[in-house]
Amino acid sequence: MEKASAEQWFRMATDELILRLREQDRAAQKWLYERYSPLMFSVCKRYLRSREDAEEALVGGFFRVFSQIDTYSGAGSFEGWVRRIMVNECLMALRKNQPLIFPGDEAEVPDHPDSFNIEADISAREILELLDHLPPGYRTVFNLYVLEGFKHIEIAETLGISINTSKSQLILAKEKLRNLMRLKGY
Amino acid sequence: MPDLFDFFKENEDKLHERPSEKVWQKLEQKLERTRRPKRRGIQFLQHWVVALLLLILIIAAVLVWHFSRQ
Repeated sequence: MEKASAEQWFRMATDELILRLREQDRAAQKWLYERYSPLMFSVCKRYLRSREDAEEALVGGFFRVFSQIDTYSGAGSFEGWVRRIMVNECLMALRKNQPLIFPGDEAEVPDHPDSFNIEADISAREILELLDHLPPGYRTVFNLYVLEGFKHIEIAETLGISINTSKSQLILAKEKLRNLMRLKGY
Repeated sequence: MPDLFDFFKENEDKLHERPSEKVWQKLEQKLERTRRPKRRGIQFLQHWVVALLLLILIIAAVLVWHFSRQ
């Protein structure tokens, strides 16, 4: 009973927030920004190497959220909708800077790639630093598949590549990460 | 021992980081720039409504004065 009531409160709070956002209420916009900017900034930083580019994408992404709030239908989570906008903004920024190159395009993809388990005590931040060493093509596919939960067909459509390229980029990204970790002694 | 992919997903919340203060300032400036023309439009309309009401009042006063003299 208590749980249902908490869920109702959350739903009401989100509905109220969206209503205020539709009226372009600055306090509501600031509240939403404060609530989601740490998460969305970490999303942007994984796609765009430099902090400046990530902050630029964050400004553009939130601007889109506020100016296109009427297009949020209420189906699906609001956070997911905001996150999707941020990812699109980052992909646009990546394409604007330079066309995405996918090294090892259409490489031989094993049916059952080796599983790679973490044996060393490695922090998440260290993993993020490792991810920064990946070429943009590998990193983008890795982010979309692992963190956004995209399927290969969706990645292929989003990036305008083949499904096989998406699969090979992911496997090559994993391979590269494994080598980098070995080099660093993990 | 988690797989690399699972490890990444599970630790995502640890990577959250607050952006610098200037990000909100930039965003607010961008929002202001798009809001101003609308405001100016409304203000312009409000001035016209006030001017029209004043004109109607003046005409009404003149008419009342004119007919009361007759």
